[in-house]
Amino acid sequence: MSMKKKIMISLMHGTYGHHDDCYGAIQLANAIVAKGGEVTLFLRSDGVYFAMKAQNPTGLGLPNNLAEISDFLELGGTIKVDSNALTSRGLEPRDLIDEAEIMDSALAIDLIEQHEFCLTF
Amino acid sequence: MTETGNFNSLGIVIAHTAAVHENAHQVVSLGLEAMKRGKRVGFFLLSDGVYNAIRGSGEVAAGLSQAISGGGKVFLSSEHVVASGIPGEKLIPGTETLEKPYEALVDLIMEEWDRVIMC
Amino acid sequence: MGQGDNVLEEKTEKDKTLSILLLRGPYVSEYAEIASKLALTARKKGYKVNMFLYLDGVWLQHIKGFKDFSNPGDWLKRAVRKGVTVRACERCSSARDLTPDDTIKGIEQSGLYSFVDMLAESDRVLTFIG
Repeated sequence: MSMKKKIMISLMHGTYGHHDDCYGAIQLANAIVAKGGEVTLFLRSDGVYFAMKAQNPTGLGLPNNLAEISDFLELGGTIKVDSNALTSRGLEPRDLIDEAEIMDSALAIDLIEQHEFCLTF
Repeated sequence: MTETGNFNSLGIVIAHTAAVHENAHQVVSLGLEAMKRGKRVGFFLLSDGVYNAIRGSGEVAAGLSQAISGGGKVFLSSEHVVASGIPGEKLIPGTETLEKPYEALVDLIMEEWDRVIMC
Repeated sequence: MGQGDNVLEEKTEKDKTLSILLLRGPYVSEYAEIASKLALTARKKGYKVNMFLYLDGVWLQHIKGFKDFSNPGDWLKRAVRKGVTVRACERCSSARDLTPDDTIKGIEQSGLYSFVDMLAESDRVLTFIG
């Protein structure tokens, strides 16, 4: 079955300490875009850590999120980041991958309007 | 099927306390922002989410009060309110405690709200 | 008759589908029970209902036996029996050594694409995570 829907995945976990949540989210995101759906990954709360440019979990024995993110972007996925969540964690846009689009928190309601479903991870 | 853009009402289901995660505060802010834009907004508090309905308990409770003042709805699961031991007089005025929460929630999700977000 | 059996006596089929994504296991929170109760109630009202057990949510399929205390698996069994389509992520199950012969009957372990198919036919989707 092909997938024509627009899905927003709101990710509030992005750390390697709770890796299964963000890894599960990006696996699902990639499955949806691979079947033709449109996905916006909205990083908020601790989800902003998911897009850290310099992440490297080799020492933890975990796969690097950047590999999955790369697949997601290649398949046409979009990543947006809650600006408040970023700044409240002492981070700046340059700490994240270049493709991450920073957006005002209040505009999250626009994302909800633009997508048929909002899945929370 | 839901059409993208057909968005007049938003449902927000909250199942945990504000202390567990900042998410509860964020979704209440989101609901208030939706109301500013003319959307109908309903909050449904169940499980640990009902603790957010204690009057004066913090920013989430203040946001829920503001939503009610602006015409929003705040529904509480009766079985969870009873389980929590929250006295009725401590609940935010204007909240609606529902005796059959699952039936009400299904009706809201499937027939009333155009979009649903979980917290 | 156990808990939940009396909720499906009158049902008019409706042309809408609800899908529920459960990401948390039983007992650690109430979400597994809430998800199953919602699924069962939606079926009672005549909606088509899907559940997908994902990440730690797959543990719910393993709660098979009788308990003389709270039993989230009992709610899931009733949901399956009443026509809720339940799938569990194959990879998540394998990671936790949850084999098909050690889980509630009627639940198929399948790939993530089966949840994407559920999404494709859904009118509403709920996720349970804490």
